[in-house]
Amino acid sequence: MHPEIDNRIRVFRAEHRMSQGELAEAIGVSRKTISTIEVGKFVPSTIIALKIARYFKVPVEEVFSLTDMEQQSA
Amino acid sequence: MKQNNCAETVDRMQRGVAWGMLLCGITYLIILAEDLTPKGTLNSILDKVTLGGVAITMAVTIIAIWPALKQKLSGQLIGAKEPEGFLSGAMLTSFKNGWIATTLSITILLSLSSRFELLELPIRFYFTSLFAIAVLSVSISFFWLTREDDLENMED
Repeated sequence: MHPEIDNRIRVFRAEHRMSQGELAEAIGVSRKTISTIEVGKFVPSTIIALKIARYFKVPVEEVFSLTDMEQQSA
Repeated sequence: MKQNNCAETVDRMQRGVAWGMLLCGITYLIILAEDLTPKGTLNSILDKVTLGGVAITMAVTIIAIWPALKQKLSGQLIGAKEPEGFLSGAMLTSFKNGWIATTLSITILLSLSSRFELLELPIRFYFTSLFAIAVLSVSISFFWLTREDDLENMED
């Protein structure tokens, strides 16, 4: 697990009503890759992170964030 | 031209190769047992099991690699343009772990070499042991890193 990085992929998937498999197919990775990113087991590469953000039409910071930075600014 | 999502194919190949390595490692452990067993019924049984192990290892590996190879040859699998995935990362980490396990084993063998000389085992025994350790450590590490997690399977 990587406690430093947080992601909102599950939230965006729910908003778009799509499964892990559909998102994986859309950005060209496997379902296992999406599921492990969601639970924080796998830190994606910059390319995968940007592809996910581009798919949901949001800046990458809206999908991924550093948890310790959020704590510092709070 | 429509590009197929090759990530699932690559994932299946990685899993298949790991299974092939696991079976290969087990086969080499059986070869070790065969080398240590005196000629007789048990030895001939182990010999036949080894032949079966080699055949199964080759079949599993070829079945694992063939779909990816077929896509590659037909131009549908463009590895360099695909982002890396979880299983590819796990395989690389497993190769690193396998290298550590093999290096540690060589270090132990070197430090105890004078004692091993007393056992008068053939040199083939040590090479077989090291190969078994190398492939088994990679495959076991891969299966450990990629084990199913209940949290991952939660879709919503």
